[in-house]
Amino acid sequence: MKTATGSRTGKRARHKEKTKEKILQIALGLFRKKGFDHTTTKEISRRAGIAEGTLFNYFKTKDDIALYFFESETESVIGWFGSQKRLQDAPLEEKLFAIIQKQLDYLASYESFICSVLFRAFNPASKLSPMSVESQYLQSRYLRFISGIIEESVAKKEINSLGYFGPYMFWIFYMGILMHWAYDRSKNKESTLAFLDRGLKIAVSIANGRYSNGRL
Amino acid sequence: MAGYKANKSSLGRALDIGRMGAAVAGSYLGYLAQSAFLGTEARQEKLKTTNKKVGVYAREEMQTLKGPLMKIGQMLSMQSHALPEELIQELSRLQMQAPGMHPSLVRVQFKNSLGKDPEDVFLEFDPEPFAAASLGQVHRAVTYRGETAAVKIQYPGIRDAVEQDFEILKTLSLPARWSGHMTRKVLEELSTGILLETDYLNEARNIEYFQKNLAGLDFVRLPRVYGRYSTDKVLAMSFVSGRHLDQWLAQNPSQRERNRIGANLMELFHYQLLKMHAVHADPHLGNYLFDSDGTVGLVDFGCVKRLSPQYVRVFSRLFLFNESFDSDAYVQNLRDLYAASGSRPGRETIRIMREFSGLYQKMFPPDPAQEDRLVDFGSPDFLREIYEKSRRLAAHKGLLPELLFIMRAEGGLYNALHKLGAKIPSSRIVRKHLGR
Repeated sequence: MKTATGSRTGKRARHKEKTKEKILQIALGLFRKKGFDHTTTKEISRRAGIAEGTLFNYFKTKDDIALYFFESETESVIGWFGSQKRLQDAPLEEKLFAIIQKQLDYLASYESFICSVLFRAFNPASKLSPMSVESQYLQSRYLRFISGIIEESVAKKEINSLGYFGPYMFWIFYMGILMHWAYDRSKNKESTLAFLDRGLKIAVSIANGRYSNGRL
Repeated sequence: MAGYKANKSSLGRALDIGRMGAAVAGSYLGYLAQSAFLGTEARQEKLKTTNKKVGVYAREEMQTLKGPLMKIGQMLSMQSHALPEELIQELSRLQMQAPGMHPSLVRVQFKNSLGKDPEDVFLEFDPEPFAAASLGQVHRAVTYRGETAAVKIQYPGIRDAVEQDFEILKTLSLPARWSGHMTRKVLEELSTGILLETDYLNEARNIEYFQKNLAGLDFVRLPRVYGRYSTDKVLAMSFVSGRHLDQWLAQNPSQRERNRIGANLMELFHYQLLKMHAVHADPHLGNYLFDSDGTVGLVDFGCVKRLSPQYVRVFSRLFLFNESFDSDAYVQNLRDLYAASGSRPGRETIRIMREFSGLYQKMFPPDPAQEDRLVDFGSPDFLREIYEKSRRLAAHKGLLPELLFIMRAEGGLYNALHKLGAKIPSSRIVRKHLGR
């Protein structure tokens, strides 16, 4: 039975989430129009109709907004994958392809923002750096998701065990794809699609021992 | 799948292509360096060995690189008259095959091209392909009108890869161009040809052209293009039923059925050549589908060779030529044929053409009184003779590219007729379309 306090807490949490989401959408709109670097927190708070101080209660910096965006993206793709019955039974290569492709689809509307963020990630002081505590927290959610998929394939004897590093190798591969995608000027990003597909073919073949001496 | 090298970055491919180019260039530079010291016979022998070595090396490397370079090799073998025969033999063994696409990649390619998911366009769409195509794969679908369709979907990035590969090849083929084994013109023609094949809308136009112009042959079945659902990367068309030749033969058809199919194939080829002046340029047996009613289905119109009406008019005079090959009339016909292409046949060319024409007389008896004579294409001696004489003719440098192309396309036809063991009145069939 919900207590009055419990339902108020729940309502507060939902309201907070809603505000966060509103701030995110406004920020993304401004990032798209003015670019990530040229957008200020003052502008974001003004557009959201809140004081800048209030904004900082939700997001201390723009980097935190970006991290929240990626957190939403990760949750979205995990939720989506869970609903794809056919994919659950697909070969590993296709599963991983579909996951990355879904992520790229999600990011497609925010391409210029993604390019800026990728660049910032090289700054060790930024929260977007893969080495930051905040990023690693987000990574761990994603890595657990991927780890589950890989372990299922190992159990089905699709591939040999990849140990601890398997999900990390996939994450590095995904980062490479993302970089390629961000700078890919081919029509419909076909060059990235081909790279993604063939890269996964090799990776899975290495993982199941079918690839040696440059041949499958 | 033996010998597959993934498509690394274009840098990786460039390094591979560079290595191959350097090795090929090295071979020819080596030949050029030595040839100054060799007598004519030794030089020719050395060249043959170099060509063979280069051919084997190029084929093996192209196979491991996969991708569009294989298409280049395949088309070099079909279209180039400037390449030595030994090289062509090796390269003609290449069969382009894009990597297979799983359902998720198919969906992405489809949606990128048409803006919708396959199930929003078709009542049914099979995510697993039923056939491979050189640049992609083919899926079965059912339209909302209940028609069975074949939907060809191209692998991503092929066009860009072809363009990149040709840029690299242009530079790396310089030694072969200096030695006269490959011209810039040949490369440019190849580039245009292959790039056209990467545009499925071009294939759609070819299908419509053949639909219109083959209407006179009631035994031919062609697909119908669904223009609304077709783009440069997705080609939707009606499904053409039938079995490939080997599967059809496995049903043990009667001699009568074999003869009927054989006659239809013979007529189809010569109708294209003599009436349409356009030939289905990839006479791969996989592009023909056979039914028990004697009809022939044609698929894959990515590559169509067009011939000028003037050329065909002059060329057709060589068909069913009923005089001596030593006659002035025969030599004049040859000269007219070459003049249509702005050149002139040398003495050796005339001699070789006479020899080949002699073989043609056996396949197509010119005497009208013998036009119903059945020619047995099942005879292995006959096929051997065709092969030997064709090989000698193809090796001759003075041969017109159009003649070479027709010869190669005919080779596919005779191969099919031999497999069928068909006995057909070949003269009567050809005479019908010569209008004599």
